[in-house]
Amino acid sequence: MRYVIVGNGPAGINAIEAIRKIDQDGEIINVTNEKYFPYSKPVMPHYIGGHIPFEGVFFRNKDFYNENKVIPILGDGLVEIEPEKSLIILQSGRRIPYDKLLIATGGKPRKHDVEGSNLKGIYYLTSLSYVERIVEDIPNVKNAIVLGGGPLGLKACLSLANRGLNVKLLVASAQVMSQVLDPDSAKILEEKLYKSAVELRLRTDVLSFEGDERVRYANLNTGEKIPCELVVIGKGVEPNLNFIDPKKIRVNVGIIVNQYLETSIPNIYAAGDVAESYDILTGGSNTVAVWPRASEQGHFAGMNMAGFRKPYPGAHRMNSLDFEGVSCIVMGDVKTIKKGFVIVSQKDPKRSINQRIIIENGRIRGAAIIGRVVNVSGLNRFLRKRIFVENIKDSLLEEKATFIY
Amino acid sequence: MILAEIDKCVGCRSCEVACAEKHLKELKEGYTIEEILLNTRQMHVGIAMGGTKPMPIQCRHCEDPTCLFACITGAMHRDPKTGMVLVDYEKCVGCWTCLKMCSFGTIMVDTINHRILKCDKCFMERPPACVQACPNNVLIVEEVEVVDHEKCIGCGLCESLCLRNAIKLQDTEKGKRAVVDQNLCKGCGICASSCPQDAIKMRYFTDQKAQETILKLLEVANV
Repeated sequence: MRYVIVGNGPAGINAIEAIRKIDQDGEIINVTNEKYFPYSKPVMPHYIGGHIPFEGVFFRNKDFYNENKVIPILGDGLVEIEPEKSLIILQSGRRIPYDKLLIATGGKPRKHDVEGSNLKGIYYLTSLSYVERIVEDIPNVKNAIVLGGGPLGLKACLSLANRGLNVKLLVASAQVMSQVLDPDSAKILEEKLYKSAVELRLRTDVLSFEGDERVRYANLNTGEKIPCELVVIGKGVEPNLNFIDPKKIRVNVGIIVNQYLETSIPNIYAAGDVAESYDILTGGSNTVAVWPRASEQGHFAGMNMAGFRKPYPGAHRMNSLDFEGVSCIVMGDVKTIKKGFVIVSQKDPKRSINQRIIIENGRIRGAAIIGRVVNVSGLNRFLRKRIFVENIKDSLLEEKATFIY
Repeated sequence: MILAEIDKCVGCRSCEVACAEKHLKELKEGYTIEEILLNTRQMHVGIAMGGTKPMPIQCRHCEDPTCLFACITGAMHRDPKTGMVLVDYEKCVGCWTCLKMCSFGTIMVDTINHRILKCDKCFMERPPACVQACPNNVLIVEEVEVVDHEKCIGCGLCESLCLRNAIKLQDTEKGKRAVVDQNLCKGCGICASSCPQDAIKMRYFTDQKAQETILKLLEVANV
């Protein structure tokens, strides 16, 4: 049996580990366009800030491929899949036949295509090679701007400020983390940014960049012209599907998979940010680029590929980050509020605590826990399993409570 | 296998204190004793959902740990020697993703050093500090899988099958015999069912017990 895993992010690596648990002898080939060993994208801002060494971004040890008897093909991406002949074609023209194929190519950055966006000094936060160049540039720059108020963008702000740069964060919407957080919770994070000497500008976007070879100025939609020698763009990711022929494999936003992570073609599986899979909350399918979802899908895909049929239970949106002492944990949907939804909340602005739980028909729909980090495990469990919490909702935010289902 | 008889637990938190003491490396200045205790313990005493009874809660060292899926740095890992789920504290950046992914709420937070804490079963010490400290015998190390050394022939099949590396062949008075490390045993029963000599007995999860449970449930349901 020959397994071919495309991509070495969390989905790919967890799939390899799951396959090896069941199938000790099958041949595993790991193809990726990355030239690095498996590394973690959410940790990269910590490396920029100097909190962890370069080795810290790798989430498996150097012997991972040897230990799991995997043949790695690094720096050679997938260009085409030929399902009729069961083989894939790589950039270098190399053709690799497969018995089972997993597509775990992850996401590619959402481009910010404006005039001058090709200048030197403008980087996306989605690749370690970019991050290495950011770190090289830091000693030579004074002013940096970060575009996009998502978790990765926020972490990048604090990291750059920690390195002594003047950082401006430009967010197109009216608050930071606009996709997941309610305005009140976002306020606390915004205050924290202010304390860390990051200048936050809401409802602001860049219309064009100016500079000689390197970027020097950014023209904003407010009419201002601000100096910047380093631009970091973190506007989210979208599924990386360049090599997929929509006539062959069913694709919506991402690759459509069933509960066994199988695509519309037999023996081809998809997992991670590239796959569009079942969402517990909406009942539909969607793509959400978060780490635990990718690794779990990879695990289930690996199990199914190795012949252990195990349905994937589905995931929901979640984010968590620590903001220099203020933790921010979000799960489910806290943005939409309709008639009949019950909100359980606790506020203490002095200690930057703001916790709210949205309950729909007696079941948790979303929770945002800012400031204090207890009880989250139970809340997540309730959300995942759709457990009825109407009669215990008052004790959900109690400090002493521990939730074991 | 470490068990908790929660009927006896009064919530004195002796186990928490013992755990904190065991894992305390240095006393940081500027913190109160309670803060240090809360940020050093690797287990805690909690009150289960909707109830009033306290119970000690430690890491279950799951078979497919969700915290391992959650870890963005690779700090959370399964120790190949013991099968325990451990954290590399040097690598942890404190993103708190594992905290909410854990199904049992067993992961603790160290806000002083900004990282997570979780049970390491006091490594090689047997029994662990929490079990030693419990004044009410709530936490006990219970022999679940009992090896009959008269019947055991030391073939080593159980050793090769154990997922936890908990059963090993050791030199005893009767020659090479299988010995269970109760600290690592999860009571799954694989060794008992695989033994060709029928030398391993399960003390709790027997067929008879399962039958009794089913009958009792039927009785309650008035079928």
